Amino acid sequence: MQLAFWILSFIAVFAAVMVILSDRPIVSGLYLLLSFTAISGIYLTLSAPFIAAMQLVVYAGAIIVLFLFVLMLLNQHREEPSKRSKFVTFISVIGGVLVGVFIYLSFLKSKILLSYTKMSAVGGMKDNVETIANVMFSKYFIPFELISILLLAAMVAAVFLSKKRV
Amino acid sequence: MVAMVDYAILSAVLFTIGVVGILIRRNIITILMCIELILNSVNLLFVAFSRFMGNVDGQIFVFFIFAIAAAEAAVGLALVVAYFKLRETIEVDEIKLLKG
Repeated sequence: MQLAFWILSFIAVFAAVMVILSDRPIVSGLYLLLSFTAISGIYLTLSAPFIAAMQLVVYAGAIIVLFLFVLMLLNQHREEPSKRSKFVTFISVIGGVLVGVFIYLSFLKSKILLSYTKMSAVGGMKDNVETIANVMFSKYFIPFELISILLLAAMVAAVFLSKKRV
Repeated sequence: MVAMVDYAILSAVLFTIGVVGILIRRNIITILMCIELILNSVNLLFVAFSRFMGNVDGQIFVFFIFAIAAAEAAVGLALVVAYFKLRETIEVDEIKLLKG
């Protein structure tokens, strides 16, 4: 399982780097698909099969297909040559990496985080879906219903925005 | 065994890649992809904490984040399509109509 974690995390990070380095959006989208699939495997090493399946269905299935459809619709297969100065890009990279380094250091300083060295005895692969369902439909029942309203609102918004103006 | 801090560092690395991607890319669709990457890194941290603390609530939050990410992608891409129909560009450097 340790080997699986390292291989999958290497794939996920490599694919994420390729997403931001490639200058063709279609290639970025396909690398994003690879990254999502690897992260889904990492959920399996965390013994969360329900979340892993949802990751494949929602992200790798629905969202990536939506992105690729819009890319085909807009027909913008390559970025224009940059009009932005190299200096601005360099400063932005430095700033972004600095944010990441601060997060990394705060993780390494955190006593709570370092105290969890092995997985909890409860909550394994077995009965995962059953446990999630029990908690979701008792403690989180109202948020679960509110999510459906949010999805309805998003659907109405998407239809309204893409409608032809009269 | 893989410790909690390894998952946390993987999540931090993915988050950083997403932030750098938002800052350096000029295509608005790639920027939306980087936002998905950031949401994924947060999901990973939620699931890792949920597993190491033996508490399933984190996985339910991830479920909610999935729904919100789907809504965000749908509305964001609809906005991109509507803007493209209006101005024929999706480069963020060209989108400066409100910039005075």
